[in-house]
Amino acid sequence: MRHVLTSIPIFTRGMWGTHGLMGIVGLCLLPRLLRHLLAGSSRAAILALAIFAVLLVAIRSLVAPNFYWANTPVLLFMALAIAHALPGTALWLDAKLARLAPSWASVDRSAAGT
Amino acid sequence: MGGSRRKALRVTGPLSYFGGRITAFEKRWPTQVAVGLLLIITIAVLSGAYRKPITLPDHCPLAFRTAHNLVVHGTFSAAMTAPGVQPASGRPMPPGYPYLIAALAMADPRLAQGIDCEAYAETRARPNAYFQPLRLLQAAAGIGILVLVYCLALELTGARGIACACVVVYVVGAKLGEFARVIEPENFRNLAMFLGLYVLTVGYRKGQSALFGAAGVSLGLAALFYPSPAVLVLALALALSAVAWMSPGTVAQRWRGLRYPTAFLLGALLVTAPWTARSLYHFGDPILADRAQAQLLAFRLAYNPMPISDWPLAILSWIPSYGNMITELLFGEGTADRFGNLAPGAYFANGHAIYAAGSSATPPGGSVLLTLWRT
Repeated sequence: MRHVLTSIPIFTRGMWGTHGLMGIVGLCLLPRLLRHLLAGSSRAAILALAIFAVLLVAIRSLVAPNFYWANTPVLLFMALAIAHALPGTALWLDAKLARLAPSWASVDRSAAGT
Repeated sequence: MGGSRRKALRVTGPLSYFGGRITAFEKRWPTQVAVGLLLIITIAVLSGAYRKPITLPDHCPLAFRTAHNLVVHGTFSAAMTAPGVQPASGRPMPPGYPYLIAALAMADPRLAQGIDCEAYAETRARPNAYFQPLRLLQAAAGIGILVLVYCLALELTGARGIACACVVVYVVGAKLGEFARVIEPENFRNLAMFLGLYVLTVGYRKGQSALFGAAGVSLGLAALFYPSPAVLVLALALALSAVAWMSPGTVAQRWRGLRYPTAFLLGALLVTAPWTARSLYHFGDPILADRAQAQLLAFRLAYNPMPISDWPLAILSWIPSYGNMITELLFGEGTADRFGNLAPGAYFANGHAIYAAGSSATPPGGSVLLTLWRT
């Protein structure tokens, strides 16, 4: 029982420890990515991959000290979550900057026909 | 109004624009774009791998001793014996890495010299003189990992821009170059794992049992480099069965859906069965690797005395790079030491004593892993 209980902080070591500060950002963005992907055609695949990634961390928190570098599927998800959020974040920044200083806004390339 | 605004923003966003340009380029010059991406990935990994000399641990690694015994005696064992004395068959670690090093040693006499633990002090002084082929192969595996990360991201999202950005973010945290210059099977294990995950993803899209079998083979190979995936393969097969069973459709369709997890499990068993059979024959249990796994378990058991009051501190201090700094800033100097690996009084350090106790309590030929698990 004690072994299972102490696996809780060790589990977090594997999950949020992955990828440092970027990992934490990725973890925060993960629900957004999963919502998007689960609504798409690759629902079953993403579900299988997510189960694999979480199971890996869970099992390793029971049988090993769960060093973060061994949990690479989680790292993949975090990288994907960040990459997936980047265009949205850039657009949000664009919009905010445009409001603050109109000259900073991105050039509308669609209007330029590119 | 809001919809048209969002539509306009989608077109003008810098990264959407970047992704769009990649797609346009790729349509026009598909080979050049593929070569260009591969070149960038190769430079990223090789610069990490060759930035510093090859790192060897203080003591002769288990992988060297095992590979040396494979080359000299043809026996899988980490025991150090007198010249001419055949070591007893063992299972100190998973077979993948020692067999790979042994194969390299047979092709390269310098590497064969380097894995001889009798001359480890000399080897450790000049590691670059002995292990270049291993570093190159590990770097190649790192490049393969990044290619698979790209393919996986593309398969899941369908957007080349996102796949490229995913590779960039992944390469920052994955330490692929660093793992190319240490004596660890991480890059090979991860290559097999990501190949398995990629094939699994394609298998779902195409709905072919053979692809699920191939994914199982690949994850089985990963388990031969690092045993955690062995347990994981079984757990994943069960989880995939649950997913198939919960999918919408008739009962007959659900039963048909179970053929995928079955193929996956059979593929994994195909690869791991010979080594499991060897363990059963020699040692009477199906454990793939005893010593390396038992050491890991001992270091895990070392955290069991940790009181709940230490949990928040542990969770904070385990954030890589900044964890210790934040913990010590909030809770005082030295508070993060006990969650590290080397400082005196660290939980992790007790693992050595736990392993030694488990090892001495295990009868000859028995499994230290099972002894520790039962305590």
